[in-house]
Amino acid sequence: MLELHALTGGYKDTRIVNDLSLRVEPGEIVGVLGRNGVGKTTLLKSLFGLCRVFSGEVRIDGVAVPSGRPELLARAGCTLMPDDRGVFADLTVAENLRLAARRGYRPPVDVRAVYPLLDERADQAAGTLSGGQKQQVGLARAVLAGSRLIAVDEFSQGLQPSVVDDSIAALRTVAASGVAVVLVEQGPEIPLRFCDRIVVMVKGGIVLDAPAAELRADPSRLTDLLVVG
Amino acid sequence: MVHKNAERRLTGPRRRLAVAGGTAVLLALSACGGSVGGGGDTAAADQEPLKIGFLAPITGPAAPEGIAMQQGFDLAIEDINADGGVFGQPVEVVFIDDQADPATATQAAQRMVQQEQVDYIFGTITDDTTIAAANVAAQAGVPMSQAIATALDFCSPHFWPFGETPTQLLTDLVPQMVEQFGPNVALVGNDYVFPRTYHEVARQLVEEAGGTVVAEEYSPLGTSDWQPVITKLADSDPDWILSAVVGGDAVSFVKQADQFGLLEGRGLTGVSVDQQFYPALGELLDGRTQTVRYGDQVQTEANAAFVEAYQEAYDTQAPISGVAGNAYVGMRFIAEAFERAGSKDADAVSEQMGRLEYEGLTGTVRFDATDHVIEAPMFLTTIDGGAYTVEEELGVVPDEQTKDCA
Amino acid sequence: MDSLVSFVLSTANLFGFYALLALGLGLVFGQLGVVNVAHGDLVMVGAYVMYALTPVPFPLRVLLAVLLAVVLGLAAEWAILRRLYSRGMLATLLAMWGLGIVLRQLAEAIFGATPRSVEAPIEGSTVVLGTPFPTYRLVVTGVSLAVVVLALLVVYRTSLGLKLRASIANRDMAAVLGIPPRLMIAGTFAVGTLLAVLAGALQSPTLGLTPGMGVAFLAPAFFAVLVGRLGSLTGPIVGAFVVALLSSLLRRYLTETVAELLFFAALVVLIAARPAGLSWRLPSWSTRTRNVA
Repeated sequence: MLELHALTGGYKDTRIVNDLSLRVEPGEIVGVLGRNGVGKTTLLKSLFGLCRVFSGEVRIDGVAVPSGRPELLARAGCTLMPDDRGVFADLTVAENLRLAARRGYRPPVDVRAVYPLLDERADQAAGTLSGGQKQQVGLARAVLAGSRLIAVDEFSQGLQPSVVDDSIAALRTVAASGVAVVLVEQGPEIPLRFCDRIVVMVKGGIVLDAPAAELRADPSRLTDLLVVG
Repeated sequence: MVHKNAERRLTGPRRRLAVAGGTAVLLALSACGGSVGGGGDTAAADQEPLKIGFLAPITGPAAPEGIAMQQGFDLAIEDINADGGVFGQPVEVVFIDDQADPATATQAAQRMVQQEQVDYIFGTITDDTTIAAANVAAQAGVPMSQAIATALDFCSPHFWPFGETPTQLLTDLVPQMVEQFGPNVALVGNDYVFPRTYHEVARQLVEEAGGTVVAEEYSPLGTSDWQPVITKLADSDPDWILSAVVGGDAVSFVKQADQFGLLEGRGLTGVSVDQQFYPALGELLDGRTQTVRYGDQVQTEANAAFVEAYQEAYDTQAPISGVAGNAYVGMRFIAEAFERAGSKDADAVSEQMGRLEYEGLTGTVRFDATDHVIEAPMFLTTIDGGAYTVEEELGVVPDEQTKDCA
Repeated sequence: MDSLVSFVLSTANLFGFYALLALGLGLVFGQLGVVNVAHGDLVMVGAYVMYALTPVPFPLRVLLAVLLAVVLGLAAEWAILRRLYSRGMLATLLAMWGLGIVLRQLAEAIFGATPRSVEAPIEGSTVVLGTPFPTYRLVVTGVSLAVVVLALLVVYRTSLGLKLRASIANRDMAAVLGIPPRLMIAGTFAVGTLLAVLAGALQSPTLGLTPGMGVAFLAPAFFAVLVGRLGSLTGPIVGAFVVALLSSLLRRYLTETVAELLFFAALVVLIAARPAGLSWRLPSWSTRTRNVA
């Protein structure tokens, strides 16, 4: 469904993601891991054309998407929650959600049931929420807008464990309906628990790409790559 | 018509820039010959063409007046050169746009006297730029003239202003207005030297005529909303209004005064009813009285030829503004003074400037050799469908000033 | 009573004019991070369109001016601004400064520097609570305020307005949610241009038209944008009200020159006293301009 082909991206003159290729299939949940600064966030930004793309292609169903046009990806049903959550601070929670809702697509989970806060704080400006609350707004938006692909940067930041579990359950339900999910996380615990596949990045490239089940059996392959030093 | 106008305006400055460029090359060449002097050398006068530095704000807030002056000046140069130039050679012009900004005017004047080494400076519109340029000219010993109504107190042996003084403009106008409309007068103007001096003279004349100044208001140049001023003027209930509001502001003021009913049954005169505002204000000015020194309705042979040439050159039927006529007469006067001096020497030229009696477009023009006040006949006119029809020839209006510029 | 009515009416008139200007300036500033110093010259363009098309009926002329504004806005954004966003605010400011000069020179080349004027479509006065006031001014005040209200309704009550606000708040995120950034940028600039040209067209019968006339409107419009909370779209309107009221009050009780001096001094103090608006906005320009290219 989604294919990154030899993608090189970064900022100004610095290349951070180097010649990276990756395929994600419908319904698959992929966890992207790696130490700080290996280019996980830049990978997602390059995918959506939010940073400088030096070379390479992003293909959806085999068709290349012109670089720097995130709105075309959005129209194709792909969405991103960036690491700063990208919540519109001046807009109310309800307005934030309204912008994410897609005509003709109803996600298989009711985000307002998963995150009761969305109704409780519907008319509050999103900028006045706490970090964890913003994270919930961001995740809800991603679920509403991502009819084909949901990419989430820093999935669990600021979330209470119970909310993490609810979110995981929701994303699983969504994935089961055929939506691809790509999660970026700092630590391996959550991805190991619920991803289908784990990708580890080092220095802007992929060094490990294995089914999560394999890594659950032998976590040392993973921890070697993630522990500093 | 609009199109042709545009063409004229585009080519005007460009042509002059080309002339300026040409003179720069010429200067560079003659510098090798080592004969470039300050202009004091009589022998050099025979060889080198007369060079005039022309300063006009053709952009910025005084652009309407600046362009009118440029048009009159251009025609003068064309006519002088068509008549064989000065010292048998075509007169050269170096043009710089001073943008009505004193700092720009100072720089421009410095360039004219230092790099271009002009023999005479002509121009600027607003008094502050004129003073700025005149100071530079005076220091360099280069003579200078301006052409628009002025309240300048500047005095120098080589400074010869062609502009009308407030006294000349107002001496006959004020008693006429008091008689026609009544004794209560409101004064309004932009806030700079000329309007304030103009009103100072007016106040004295109003009192002499038995009238009273019931309001006096000034607003900065560039004011577009005149409603607060109009309210204050209306509260004083004057019989007539003397307005020294200039530029685009004049149009805003008169239009808004009309819309707020201030002009109903009241007289209006002053700088704001000058010829250059007629195209915009039209019937709001019809029937009003104004004194002018230059007017296109003054019947002389020279003026008829000038009006025809002007209308053809600039493709216009609008009333020709006073500053255009003054600039034409002024530049021809200066050329004649050089011709008589037979030299580019500043002292020799200034001596002729003070002595010359020149037959201009609307009568004989001369300077008082002591106070440098221009003496030329004035005319009382009534505005009638765009024509500033002469009602009365006022002759030379004396303006006795105590200064000694010589 | 008499003078109070005329004070209220003329303040409302000034408020309507400044609100149109400030709203356009604030929109362009918020969405594009561009300080549009040519905004005043767009007012001039509106006034000269009204002059140039004199034989056409007045309301139709206003409509034509508005259409021209949209074309001009889109063309300027496409031809000039689009390449400059990535170079930062100074580059776009200078480009707009240049655009202003070009517009003034063009007006001078076409219409000359002689002041021009536009006939008001409605002559005479209307008596409001015993005070006569020029009818045309009343109509213009009504129309200006109606346009401002309409603009606010669009911004706060429609899905287009929601997208616009989202795009101003975080253009990248808006794009990720399917709001095309280029369209929003070009559209916002066109709307900003439209509002300025409309303001000029509506006010033209009360003004003396010269190519440089627009310069005088830039300062009050800027102050209106700065006084209101930056980034919020009601800010410029609140600011326009403060500026109009302050100007009217000072000019009513003081001489013109003193009033102008105090007017600008008061605004500077007001802005200095609450600089939060300014500094709050700065970081989001810098990130935004970097990402556009």
